[in-house]
Amino acid sequence: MHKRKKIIGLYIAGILVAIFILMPIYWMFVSSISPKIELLSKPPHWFPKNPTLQNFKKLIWGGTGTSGEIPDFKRALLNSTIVALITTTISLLLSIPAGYVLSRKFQKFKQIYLNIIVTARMFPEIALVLSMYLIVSRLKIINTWWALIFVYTSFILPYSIWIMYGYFLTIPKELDEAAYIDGAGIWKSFLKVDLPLALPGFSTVAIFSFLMCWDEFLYALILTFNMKAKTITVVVSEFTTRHMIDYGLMMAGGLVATIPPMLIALLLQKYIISGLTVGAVKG
Amino acid sequence: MKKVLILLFIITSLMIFSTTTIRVISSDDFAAFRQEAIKRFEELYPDIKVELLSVGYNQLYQKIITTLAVDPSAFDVIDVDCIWTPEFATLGLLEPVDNRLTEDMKNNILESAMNIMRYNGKTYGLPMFNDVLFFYYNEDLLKKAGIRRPPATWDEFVAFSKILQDKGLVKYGSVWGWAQAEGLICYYTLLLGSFGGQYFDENENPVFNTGGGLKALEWMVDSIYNYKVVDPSSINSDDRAMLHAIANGDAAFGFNWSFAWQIFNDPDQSSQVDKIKVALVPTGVPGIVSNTSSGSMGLAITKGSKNKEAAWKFISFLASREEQRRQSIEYGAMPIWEDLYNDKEILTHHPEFSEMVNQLYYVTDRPSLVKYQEFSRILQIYIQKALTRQMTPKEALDKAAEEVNKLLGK
Amino acid sequence: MRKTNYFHLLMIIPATVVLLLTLFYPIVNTIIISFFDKKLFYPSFSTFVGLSNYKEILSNEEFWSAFKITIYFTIVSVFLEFVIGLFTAILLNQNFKLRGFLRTLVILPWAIPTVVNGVLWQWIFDSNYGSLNGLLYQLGLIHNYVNWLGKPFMALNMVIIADVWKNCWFFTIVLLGALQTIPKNYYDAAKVDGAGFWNRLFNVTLPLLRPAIVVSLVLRTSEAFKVFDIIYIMTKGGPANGTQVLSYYVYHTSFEAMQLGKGAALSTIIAIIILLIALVYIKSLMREEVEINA
Repeated sequence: MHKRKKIIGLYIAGILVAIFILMPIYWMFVSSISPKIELLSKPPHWFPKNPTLQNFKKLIWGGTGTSGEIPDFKRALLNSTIVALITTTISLLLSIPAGYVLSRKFQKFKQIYLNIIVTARMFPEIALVLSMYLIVSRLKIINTWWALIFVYTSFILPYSIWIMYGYFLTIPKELDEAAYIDGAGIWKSFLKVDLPLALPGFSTVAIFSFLMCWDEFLYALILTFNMKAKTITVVVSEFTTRHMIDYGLMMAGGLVATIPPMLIALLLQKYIISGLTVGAVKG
Repeated sequence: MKKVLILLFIITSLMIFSTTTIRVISSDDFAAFRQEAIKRFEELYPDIKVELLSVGYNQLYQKIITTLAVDPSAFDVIDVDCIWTPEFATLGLLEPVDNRLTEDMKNNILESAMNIMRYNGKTYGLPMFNDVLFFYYNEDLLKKAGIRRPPATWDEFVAFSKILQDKGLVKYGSVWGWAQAEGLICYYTLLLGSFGGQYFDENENPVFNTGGGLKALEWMVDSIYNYKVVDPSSINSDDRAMLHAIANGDAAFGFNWSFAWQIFNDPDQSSQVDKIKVALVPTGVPGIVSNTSSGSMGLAITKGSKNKEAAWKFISFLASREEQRRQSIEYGAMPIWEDLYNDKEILTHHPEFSEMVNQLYYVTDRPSLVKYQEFSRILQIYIQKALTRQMTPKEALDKAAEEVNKLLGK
Repeated sequence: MRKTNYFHLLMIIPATVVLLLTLFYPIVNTIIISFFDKKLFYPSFSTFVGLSNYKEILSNEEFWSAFKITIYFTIVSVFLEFVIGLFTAILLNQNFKLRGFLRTLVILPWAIPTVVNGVLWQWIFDSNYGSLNGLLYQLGLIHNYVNWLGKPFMALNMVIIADVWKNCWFFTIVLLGALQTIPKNYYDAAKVDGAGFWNRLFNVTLPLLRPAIVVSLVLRTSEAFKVFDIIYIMTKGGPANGTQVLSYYVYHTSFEAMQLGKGAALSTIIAIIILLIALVYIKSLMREEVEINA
C-alpha cells in the first residue's frame, strides 16, 4: 500500500516536471506555425486552427518587410556554425597537449597553472568587452568570423584544458610508461596509448565548446555589424528591437536556432552528462 | 617597352573603372526604401557600390560611436538624429558640407529641416525626411462609438477613450511607447509643449519641473492610474513595440512617426488597412493649437571617409526631389523640399498628406545639447520612476532637474 | 621519461601563448584602464587618476542600486534553481517508468540558447497577447491582464522565472550524476534506522553530495552574478532601472556613456566580488580539503 502511494506520488511529480518543461517549448512551437491573426487573439489559440509554415518559409527564402529585408537566416546559421567549428577545433588542438602534459609533468607548477586560468575566468565576460573590442579593432578583424573565434577561444580554452587534464588523469601513467619502455618513444606512446583512451574527453570538450559558441551573445552583438559575421543569437535578438515585433517570425527563428544545440544535446546526452558531472562528482 | 605600356594602360583603365564602395550605416525605419533607392543609385553611378548596414534605431548611436572611435573611416555615411548633431559635430566626426550645397538646396529645402543638420553655423549633411510624431486615430472605431471627430484636447482625448472603452470597442483608448528609451523623451516633449511647458528658461536653467513640464508628466501618470485610458504596457513598450496594438485595432489612438503610416496600411502587418487617419495632436491648454516633437534624421559624411565625393553623390541622390517624392508616396515620409508640399502626385497617392502637413507647424524640438545623451538618460529614468509610481511627478522632475544642473555644470 | 624535455614544453607552450594573448592581456589591460580617465572618443587622451574611478563608482547611487538588484537576482534565482534541481534529481534517481523520458527532457531547456529563452519568455509575458495572461485568465485566476514586465520589482522576478526555467536543470544533471555514485546500502542502513525522507535528505544525501553541490553552486552563482543576455533581451534594464544589473551597468557605462575608465573599474569590482563569492563558498562548504575540478 505504502509502495503504491509512493509510485503514484512519483508519477504525479514526474508529470508536473514534464509539464513545466514542455509548456513553454510547446508555446514556442505553436506560435511559430500560427497565422498572425490567431497569434494576436485574446485569449490565445492553444491549438492553431490554420497552421502555416509561412514564418519558416520567410526565414529560409527571405522576403521584405517595412524594416527592410528579413535577415538572411541561412547566413547567420552558417556564421554561427563556422565560428563554433573553428573555435572548437582550435580549443581541442591546444587543450589536448596542454591537458596531457599537466597531467603527467610539472607537478609543482601545474596546480598554480590550473588555478590561475580558473581565476582568470572569474572576470566576467562583460569586463573584458572593452579590451577585446580594442584588440579586435586594432587587429582589423572586427565584423569577421575571426573576431569571434579569437574571443571565444579565450573563453573556452581554460575549460577545455581543465576537462582534458581531468581525463588524462584517469589514464594510468603506467600505461604510457610501459609503451615508452617498449621503445615506442614519447610521441608515439602519446599518440597510440593516451589519445585513444582520452577520446570521450575530446567529445566532451567539443560538445561544450560548440554549445558555448552557439549560445554566446554579448560579444557577437558588439563585434559584428552585418550579415558578414552576425551570428544566430544576434539575428534572433534583433527581432525584438526592429519595429513591429513579429512574434511568429521571432519564435520560428528561435526554434531554428534551438534545433542544432537541442539535437546535439539529445544525441550526445551521455557526453554532456559526463562532462557536467566529471568535475563535480570526482570533487 | 610596348608590353610595359600595355600593362600601364590596363592598370590605369582598371583604376578608372574600378568601383568605389561606400559604407552607409542607417536606422532601419526606412530601410526597405533605402535598399530600393540604392539599386537605382548604383544604376546611375555604376562605379559606386553602396554597402548599407541598417540597425534598429536604439542601437544606432552606440554602433556609430563605438565603431568610429576605433576606426574613423569605417563608415562613409552615417545616419544622424537631430539630437546627435551637436555632439557628433563637437567630437569632429562630421564633414561640413556647406561648400557642396547647391543654390537649389539652399533656397528650396525647408529651413526647419535643414536646421537639424546645423551646428555652430556649419551644415553637416542633408536631412532625409521631415519627421514629427503624428496623431494616428482609428476612424472606424470612432464611428462605431458614435464619435464624429478626433479629440482636439487632452480632456476630449480622455473622454473619447472612456466612451470607446465603455462600449467594449477597445480595452484601452491609447497605447504609447514610454519605455526607458529615447522615444519616451519624444512623447514627453510632445506633451510638455502642448501643456505650454519648456525645457530650459532663457538663462539655460532647467524649468521642465514646473508648469507645462510638470503637468505633462502628471497627465501621463494620471492617464494610466486615474483615468485608466492608457494601456499600462506603454511603460515597457518603446515607440516600435506599441505599433502592434494600433495595427491590430486594440487601441484607437496612438502617436508615432511617419513610417508608421505605411505599417498601418500594409495588409501583411495590419488588420486596420485604410482605417487609420491622422489628425492634429490634441492640446492641453487654451491658446496652444497643438504640439508635437520633431524627430527628423539626416545623412552626413564622416570626417574620416576616404570616399567623400561618392558619399556626397549618394546623400544628394537620396535627397533629390525624385527620391523624396517616392519616399513620400510609398512610405509616408514628409519630404524636405518646400515645393513638394504642393505636389499633385503626392497628394493623390497619399491622402493623409494634407493632414500631416498641418502638424509641421506645431513642433517643439528636444533640447540641443552636446551632452544630450546623458541629459536624455537622466530624464528617462526619472520619468519612469514617476510612471512606475516610485516617485511623484514633482519629486521625479525636481530630482531630474537637479541632476541636469549638475551635468551641465551649474 | 621522468625528465621534462622539449616535447613536454612544446605541448604546453601553444596553449599558454594563446591564453596569454587572448585572456591575460585583456585582463591586465582592463585593470590598467581602470586607473585612467579614459573616454572612448579620445583614445590618446587618458590621464592617470589613481583610484578615483573606483571612488566615484562606490559613491554612486546607480552602482549600489545595480549591486542590490544583482545580489537579489543571484540569490533568488540560484536558490530556486538549486531547490528545483535537487528535488528533480532525487525524483529522477527513483525507479519508475517516466524516469528515462524525464532524464532526456531536462536537457532540452538547458540546450536552448539564452537569447532564444529571453525572447520566448518575453512573448509569454506579453501583456496583451502573451500566453501567461491568457492561461491565468482562462483558469479564472486573474480578471484583468497583468503587465508582467511593467513594474520594476515584478519585472525582476519575471526575469528570474525565465532564468530558473532554463538553468535549474543544470543542478538536476550534476546532482543526479553525483547521486548515482552513492551506494544504495547507505540508504538501506538509514531506512532500517527508520529515518524519514527529510531525515535521510539532510543526514545522508546532502552530506554525500557536498562536493558536487559546492562546485555547481560556485559555477551557477558566478554565472548568475554575471547575468546580461536575458536582461538585455527582456527588459533592457527597465522599467525605471528596476532590472539594471551590474553587467548591464558596465555595458551602459562603457558603450553608451563611453566612459571606458569607469567601465573598466566597474568590471574589476565585479570580478573581485565573484572571486570573493567563490572563496566564501569553498571555505564554508568544503570543510575537508577537496580540489575543485571545474
